[in-house]
Amino acid sequence: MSLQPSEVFHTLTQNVETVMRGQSGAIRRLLAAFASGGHVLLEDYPGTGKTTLAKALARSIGGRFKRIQFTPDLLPSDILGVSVFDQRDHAFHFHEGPVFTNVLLADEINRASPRTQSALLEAMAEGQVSVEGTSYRLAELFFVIATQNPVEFRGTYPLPEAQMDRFAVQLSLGYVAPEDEVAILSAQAQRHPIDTLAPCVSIDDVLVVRRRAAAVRMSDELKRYAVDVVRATRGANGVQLGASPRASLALMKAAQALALSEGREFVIPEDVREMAVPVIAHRMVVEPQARFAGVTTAGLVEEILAKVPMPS
Amino acid sequence: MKRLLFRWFNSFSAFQYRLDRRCTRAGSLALGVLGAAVVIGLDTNRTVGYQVLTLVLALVVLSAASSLVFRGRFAARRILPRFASVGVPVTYRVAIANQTGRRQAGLVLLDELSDPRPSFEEFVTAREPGEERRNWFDRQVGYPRWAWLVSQKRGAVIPPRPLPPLDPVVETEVMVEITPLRRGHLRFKGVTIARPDPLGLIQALKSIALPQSLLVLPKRYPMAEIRIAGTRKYQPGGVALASTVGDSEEFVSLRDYRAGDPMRRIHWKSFARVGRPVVKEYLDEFFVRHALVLDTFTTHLGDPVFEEAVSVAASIAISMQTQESLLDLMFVGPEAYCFTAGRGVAHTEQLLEVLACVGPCQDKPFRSLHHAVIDRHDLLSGCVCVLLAWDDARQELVRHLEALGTPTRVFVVGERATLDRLPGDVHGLEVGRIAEGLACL
Amino acid sequence: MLVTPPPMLLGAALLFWGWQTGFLFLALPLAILIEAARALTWRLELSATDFHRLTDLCTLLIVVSGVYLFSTTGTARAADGPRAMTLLFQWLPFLLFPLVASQLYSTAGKVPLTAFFWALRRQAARAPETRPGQVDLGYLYFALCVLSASAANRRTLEFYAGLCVLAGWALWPWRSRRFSPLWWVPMLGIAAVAGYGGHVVLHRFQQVAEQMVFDYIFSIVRGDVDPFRVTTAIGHLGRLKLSDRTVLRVEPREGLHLPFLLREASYDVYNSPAWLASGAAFTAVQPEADGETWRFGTGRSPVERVTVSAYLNRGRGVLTLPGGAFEIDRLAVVGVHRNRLGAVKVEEGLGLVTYTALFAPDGPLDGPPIEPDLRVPPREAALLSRVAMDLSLAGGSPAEKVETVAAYFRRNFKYSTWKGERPRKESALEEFLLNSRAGHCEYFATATTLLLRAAGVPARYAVGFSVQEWSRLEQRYIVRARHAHSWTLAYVHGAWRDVDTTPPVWAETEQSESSLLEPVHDLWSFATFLFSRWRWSEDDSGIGRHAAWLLIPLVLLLVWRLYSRRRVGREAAASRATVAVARPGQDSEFYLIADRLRTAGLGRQAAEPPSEWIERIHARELGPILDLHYRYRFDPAGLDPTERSLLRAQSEAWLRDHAQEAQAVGGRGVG
Repeated sequence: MSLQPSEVFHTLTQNVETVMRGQSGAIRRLLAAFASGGHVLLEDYPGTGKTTLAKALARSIGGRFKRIQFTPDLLPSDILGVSVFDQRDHAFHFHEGPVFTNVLLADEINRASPRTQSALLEAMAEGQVSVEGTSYRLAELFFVIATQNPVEFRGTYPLPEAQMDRFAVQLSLGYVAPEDEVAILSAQAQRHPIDTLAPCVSIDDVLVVRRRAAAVRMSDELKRYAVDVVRATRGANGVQLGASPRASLALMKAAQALALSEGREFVIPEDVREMAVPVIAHRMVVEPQARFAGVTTAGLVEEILAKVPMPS
Repeated sequence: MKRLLFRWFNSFSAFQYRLDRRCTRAGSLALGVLGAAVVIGLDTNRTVGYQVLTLVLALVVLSAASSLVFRGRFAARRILPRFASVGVPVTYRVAIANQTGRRQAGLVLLDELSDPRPSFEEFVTAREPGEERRNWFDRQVGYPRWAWLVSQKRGAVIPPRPLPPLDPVVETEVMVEITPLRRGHLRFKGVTIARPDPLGLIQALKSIALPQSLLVLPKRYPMAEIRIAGTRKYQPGGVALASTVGDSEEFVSLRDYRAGDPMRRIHWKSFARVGRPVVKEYLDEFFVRHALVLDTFTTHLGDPVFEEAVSVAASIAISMQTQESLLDLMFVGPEAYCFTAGRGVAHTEQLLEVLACVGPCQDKPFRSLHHAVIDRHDLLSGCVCVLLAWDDARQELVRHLEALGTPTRVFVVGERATLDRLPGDVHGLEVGRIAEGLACL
Repeated sequence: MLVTPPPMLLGAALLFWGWQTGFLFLALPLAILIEAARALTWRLELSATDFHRLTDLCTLLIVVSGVYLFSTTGTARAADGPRAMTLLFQWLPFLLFPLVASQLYSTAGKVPLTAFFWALRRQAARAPETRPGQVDLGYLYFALCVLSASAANRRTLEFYAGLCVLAGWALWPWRSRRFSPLWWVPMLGIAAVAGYGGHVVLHRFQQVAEQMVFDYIFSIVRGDVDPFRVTTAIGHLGRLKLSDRTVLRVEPREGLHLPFLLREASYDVYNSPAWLASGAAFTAVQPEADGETWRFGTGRSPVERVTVSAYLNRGRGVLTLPGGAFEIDRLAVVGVHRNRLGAVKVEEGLGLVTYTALFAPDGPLDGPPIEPDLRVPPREAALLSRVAMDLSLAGGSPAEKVETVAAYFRRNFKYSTWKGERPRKESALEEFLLNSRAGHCEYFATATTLLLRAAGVPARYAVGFSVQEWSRLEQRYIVRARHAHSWTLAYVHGAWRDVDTTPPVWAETEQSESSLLEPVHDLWSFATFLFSRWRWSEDDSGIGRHAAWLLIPLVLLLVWRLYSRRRVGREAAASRATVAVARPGQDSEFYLIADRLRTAGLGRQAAEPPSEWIERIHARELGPILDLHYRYRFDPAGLDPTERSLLRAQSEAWLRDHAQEAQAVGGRGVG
């Protein structure tokens, strides 16, 4: 069963929305990041449905789903896997860690120590795990959704700035509108809808979509626009660290995926604008003085979007 | 008598404020020219200044008449950042929705803060810095004190902002930049849309109530990191502070497996070597913990020495941020407070938020702070004190701390006169020259 | 918000000022200098200290001009001539020009507020990192030029017309963009007409009010006020004698006999304790051709002269003259009046007058005695006739009678200073003549006059000063308040003679009661006299004008210092090198549609994506056109020819359909 890419997106969105109500914008961007091959960082208050979203996505594509709850005493071996000595045959066997899956939910990633965080982030970057000299490849479709709680501060280790780059997109779900919240109550009265969620697309379809997304056409003018926006973040007032060329790349890929989700074979400026803040904002670091003056990275990116002239 | 003066100042300030809102820049200049023309043209035989007087008066009256009626409906929304800092310009957005059916051009936005006029008690008890230098008349009547109080309570000056043409139905966003002048909550009262009359002298006003507040953090000075000669003692803290379970990951030793140990703790290589399970042992981590003691005992309201002391405390808190130490902020307000922060910049924000709202304590003796600090001394590996004076009670605290073996750094903030007789290891910071004092540490 | 005045406004205001005040030759180069700042691109880099110095210089200029003007307008005789203040105000635009010009030619373009207030300068010195507020002087200078032009008091319609034009020009940039000029012009016109009516009414109102006030005051006060010495009473001079103040100054000349009497006024009717001048209306004296010589009698040789300096309070007062004065030279006053009893009052003079009186040394030239000069008041008649009989004054010539009376007083009476006692109406004289036999000059003079009248000699009571004291400090004779004196005028041998029966020791007696600080007061009085003389001096060789010349090198020095600063050019706008990026699809017809919608007021806002925009204006039929446009614009593959022609056709169709609607639409949505 080979579906058109836009149909794939459409079906996935519908499937996930049966479980997650009132979050269509976030789902759209999440799927765009998913199709672009990057990983997603969800920063949100507790109880907004981050786990449900990851589970719903995993189930919709029929892939494997693993969840890691990060705690301060989590070891890298708990994530990657450990070589266990088997007494019977006097040999070491590698027990895979939860990272060998299709969709991985890393809950509260900022609670673990930096050593553990970097273990996961390296695995995300490399696509493989090296334990005791041997490399084990991860699945071809490997998608990480990491979550952070912005309110909890005690005993947290914020992700280092250089590592934030590994996430293509940072999203937040937020609280839903009252009508949607009422609908949630009605839907989950007896049991959780996720339990009955069935796969609607296959992993191969998703891989095809990824390849097609990479093939979406982008004119030089728009590439120049994306680069201008990213470059403007480096010299902006109050910025200690601007976005790197990795951000431009991620922006292009995300815009391509978004264009594909709308059935277009080419990118338009609106795609770049829509994905700019989710892609760029979390890669920037604001100077402490500016932060205490109320400057936020999202605000800065929005200002830059207003200033840099959009091609039309 | 004082009450009479107070009421007079009150009404005069209110009158001035209302006049200011009603007049544009050109209107204020016209009123000034009117005043000058009255003086010059008083004798109509000597000069022709009275002609200037009547012309300007006619212009002003005509403007006022044409700005009596303003029919417009607007809704407004203000998007404020999370906080701002004293002396640092902050930009926020105001979104105005034009609810009339027509496009509105040439309007001006006046964002309004809450009333900065002091109450009668504040007027009577406040002491302006340098008030002794004023002459007797000023001190009795108290107008400079009133003006100083108003400027203290006025959190910021918001200049009028001309609006772009507002299309109907759509929300138009404008950016407003202000510079907060004092710490604490900057309270907004509402938004006023002003329409200048055709001549451009007087404005017609339409007010929209929009109460909001913005937290303004205290001013901070750049300073080098303070090193306190403290050792890392075994104070409980560290990772165990987090409300999660578990030991830290400092791997210290191996021991034999005991029933009940989790599987993940097994050290497999040793198992392979020895033939029986061996378990890794971990050690609790300990952190250096410093106290930042802030002296809040002052009798003056709006004391600039106290404000500078808060700024110094904020600067110290920022400079002491490290990933691996904790900072306890201790001060006495309505009760003795101790606020712990550390492990990342996010905490420092909350520390600054606390400092933004700290107020002077006028009813308790210094002993209460002394007791609070001494009670906690066995948890501390070092102490930084920011004091407002160097009198016996405060010297007692420092001596006590040093006698207990807690290394202490003391900063005294005050006027030049109070900083004369300080011992060598106590740093004096003169009000008005704090930046220099901190830079040469 | 506009703060700088529109172009040419300041220049026009300066020309207006020059035209009204008569300084047009000066205003023209200044106006050119100000307006040239717009054309020239170089600027001076001026720091806050430079502005402080400039402000101080302007303040100095104002102060010096003020002093100069105050000193020279004193010679203006006309009552309605311009006062010094008004002249100074007229000069202000010129005096403040350096400050305004330097603001226009500085890089900052504004003047820091610390230049105007000392308190702010001190505050800035204490906290150097705070930036003080700055102010643009443009409009303030404009207002100053207009007000200063009004001080020139040219009462023509041109002033008001020019004022309206300038006001309109200044207000034009401030007009609210919301209203079309069709509102603004009529409002300005109404204001101009209302202003005109207003000022005519105001002027008329002042005239009426002044007349009413004048009438009211005049109805209260009748006759002349007392500075003209209508009456004197015993004790009046006594009070005057308590002061050491230097009242008059007499220039030294050889042949001047001391003590020398200068008379203020004489009186002829005694009504205890006051002397009155009866029937003594003042008549005007006409000056000679040069306006400074006043003659009121024929001269008699030998002629003697004496030069006196006296202060006139507000330019009016009574002159003290020697007895036989018939002419006064070099008297700088406007009006002189004289009465038959010899009192000379002047009006509208300078504050300090120095005059030379020509007099005949042998006595006053007043008119012959009339009946009141012989009248003895009934209350004292009995007493005086008794004393006269005691002295056997019945027979003898008038000269002998005078001698007898003088000897009588000399032998039997002593001088005592006035103690502040109030003379009793009934028996002041009796007390003096019979009981105490001691008193001050007023008692002596009164008793002498009445006694001589009782003896049949016409006598009058004279009040004035006695010149006795030589001042080593000033090198001239000074007359103090305690030298005030009264004596008798007796008509002997056809002329009035001075008869002074007060014991001559009176001067020393009074002096012994002087205060210890008298030398200090003298010094101060001398300094004041010199200053007043300089101020009120008439000759143009005063130092006032020379002081102005001294300022010119100062101004040049300041200009040189300013000029030698670095001249900083105005920043040239950085030309941005634009990288040429290929922008295909610029000829898409969608842009025409966008233009059409913008003229109808529904244009796309700057940062609004086009898809959202057509949602907002409810123009969904543009959706397919937009898709094609996007492909044309942003798809690297582009459009094939059929799609291209489709785009063109659909756009043109839409434009045709909505041609009329788009024009008619004001604010409603399309479609």
